[in-house]
Amino acid sequence: MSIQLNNVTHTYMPGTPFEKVALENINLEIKEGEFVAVIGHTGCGKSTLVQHFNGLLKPDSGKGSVIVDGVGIEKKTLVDVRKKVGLVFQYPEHQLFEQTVYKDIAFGLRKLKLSEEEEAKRVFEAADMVGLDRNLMDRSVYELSGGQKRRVAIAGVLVMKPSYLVLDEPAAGLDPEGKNDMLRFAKKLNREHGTTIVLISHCMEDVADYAGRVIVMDDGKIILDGTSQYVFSKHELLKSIDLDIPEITKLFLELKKLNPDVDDNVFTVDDAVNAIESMRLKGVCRL
Amino acid sequence: MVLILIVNNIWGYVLASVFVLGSLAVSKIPPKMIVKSLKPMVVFIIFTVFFNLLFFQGDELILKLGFVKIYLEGIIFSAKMIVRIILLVSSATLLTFTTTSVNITDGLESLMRPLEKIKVPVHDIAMMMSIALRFIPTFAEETDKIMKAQASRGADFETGNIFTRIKSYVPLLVPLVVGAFKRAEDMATAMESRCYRGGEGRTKFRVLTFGKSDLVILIGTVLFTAAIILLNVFL
Amino acid sequence: MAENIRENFVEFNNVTYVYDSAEDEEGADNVGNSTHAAVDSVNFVVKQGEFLGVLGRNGSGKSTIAKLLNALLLPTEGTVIVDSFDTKNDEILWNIRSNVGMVFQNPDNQIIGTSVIEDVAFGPENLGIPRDEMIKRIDAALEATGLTELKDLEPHLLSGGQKQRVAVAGILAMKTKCIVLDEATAMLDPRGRKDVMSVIKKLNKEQGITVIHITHHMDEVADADYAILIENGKVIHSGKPQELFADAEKMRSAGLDTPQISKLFEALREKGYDVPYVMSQEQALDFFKSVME
Repeated sequence: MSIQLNNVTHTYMPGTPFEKVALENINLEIKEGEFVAVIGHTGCGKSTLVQHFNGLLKPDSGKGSVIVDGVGIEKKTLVDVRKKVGLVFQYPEHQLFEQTVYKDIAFGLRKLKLSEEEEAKRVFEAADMVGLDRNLMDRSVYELSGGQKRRVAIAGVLVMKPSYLVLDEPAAGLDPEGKNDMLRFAKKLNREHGTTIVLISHCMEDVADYAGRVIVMDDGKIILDGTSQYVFSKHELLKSIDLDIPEITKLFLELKKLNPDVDDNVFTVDDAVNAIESMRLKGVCRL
Repeated sequence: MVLILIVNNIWGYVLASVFVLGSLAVSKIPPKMIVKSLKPMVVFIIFTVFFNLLFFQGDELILKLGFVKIYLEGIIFSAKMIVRIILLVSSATLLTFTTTSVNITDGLESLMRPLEKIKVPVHDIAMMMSIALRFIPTFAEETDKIMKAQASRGADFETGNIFTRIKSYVPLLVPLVVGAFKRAEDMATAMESRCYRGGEGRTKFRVLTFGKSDLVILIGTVLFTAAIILLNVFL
Repeated sequence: MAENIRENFVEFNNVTYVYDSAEDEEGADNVGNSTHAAVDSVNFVVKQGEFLGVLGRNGSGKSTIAKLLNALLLPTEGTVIVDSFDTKNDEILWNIRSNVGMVFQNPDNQIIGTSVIEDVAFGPENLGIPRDEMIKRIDAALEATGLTELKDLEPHLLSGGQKQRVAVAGILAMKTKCIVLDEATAMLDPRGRKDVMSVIKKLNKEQGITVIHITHHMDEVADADYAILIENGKVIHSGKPQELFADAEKMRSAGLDTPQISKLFEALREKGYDVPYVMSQEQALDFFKSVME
């Protein structure tokens, strides 16, 4: 079970002076259960890429296909695809519109024609998953704080029980505590519910901490695809496309210049502590 | 432009055509674009001609097919309609292709200035138009984003009869409008913070200058207007 | 260095602000509006030319502090003195606003002009600056914010960081003595944040403009002269940034997070090693240079 992109090319506004090739010959498979991060500069094609996962965008005709769990995306399969693949855009709280929190979360269920009990069960389940208080269900969405609104919006996507969830910078605009809550939530979904997570993020430290696999994009192409250790070790390449590496990695690259015995494969704080302790044992540093 | 609508004789049409075509030539707008701008009108023109040919009653019968009677007057009237439509649309194209929307608003503001004497809030109107223009691309992006977000949740903007379709736009319109109100509030706060207090005591960065070519056009337009009126009266 | 007795530019004297809550007397029933004070007996001073960091989580009251600085809000109790004027004084409202420029959080919702240069002109136009003077100021402001090449671009073609720089340029053109950034970096990507911070720091150092930077990103405040930590409307910690960073527990309980480098040193300390409090790469490198062969 996976999302497969085969030779996908996508051009914006073809045949006009504004023509732009946003994706060029992309071959990619996101397997069930993975936690993947997609990184790259604004304009590299990340948003265009993930919008192909649920059929919001289609490959140029004849230029590739998108297959979700073995079924190609076309008009008649679109409804099913959108149940399986959930997409949470940046600042999702801007899309709330219903009169009550309950109704907004339930919006995605309309086409399923569930009974009232089934619908309520799903809505409450989704609300619980995002940590939304049940007694907010009858409130108007506009009475809530920004953080609560965002939870409502995410619940509105989770209510469809997607097996793949794309999160486009889910922590944008949140304070550090909010950001940590959000990322831990994504991790929980992945670990406990088996939801495949595709995370778009600009924060390299978060990517190193949470993602098992990192895809690096530049100018519509996939430049690197591998574990976070693999990707972040390619710091020269990342620098050349103006991407950053975790702060701690930068520190160890500098330390290696001081003493070649320093191990610079350090991407998280835990890695760093281990590396320093081994440096101490080797006598490379006094602590 | 408006004068084209009152022309009632052949010489008037000739003069108007010369004026418009001459302006288009001077403007250096590629002919391809002018033709492109007329494309949407083709259907309208065909309809107008069709109905006029069929129903215009006159004196000289040209063609008779069963009970369909086509008169000479009908043909002439249709021809006049075609010319009018083409000239009108071309003049509008002339305006939009040569003048930035910012300049148009500035021009309108300075033309309306005398209305300030009768308490028309000219500055406020101009400021509103200018801000509205500035936000058009931003709103277009936002609309696209909201549509995609709702479509991802199963919203369908395409199927159904007219009533279902209108209802399906609620998930798009409500967030847009609410967002617009929030924007307006933020903008007002930002403007106040930058010492905006209305038009009193404001200086302007953008100035419209009146140059030689403007004089030429002004005189030309006045002469044209006079000529059309005279032709109408005396012919 | 000469003893520069810098004057107080801003004084918050026992300031309390309570939002108009819902009619409900019991308080927090109306989620988001409660009868408790958004700002509670806050005292602090900012000297002319200083760079003050105001840290706090979302909802801590730091944004309310921003709005109290240029009289968008007036204190319920206490006084706010800006440039020796009391903000409650109606008559000098515009004096305050022309000396305290605000950059807000949403980059789009503060750009009024149809192009970069038009927007930068907005402030001076409002102040009635004569056109010749205006042009000089605008050119200087665009230069200082690195926007000269982009001056004719329309707003929707700009990145978030560029939009915020336009806002800063617009304030510079008004020649304000102080710039307040009300969570101005919250909606930017790391690149944008870096751009804005480097412009702000440069203006503070080179032109002596007082900067009050309100944020929840600790690393942006590492170079500040002074920092205060807000939680529930109260100042719970104040001092030099190092002093605040040293109390990692307090920072975390206030909803903030220390930079990754600091976290490394915290982890080492927890293991029993004697290491200093570190806030930046430079400090970390200096330390390691001293303990490595």
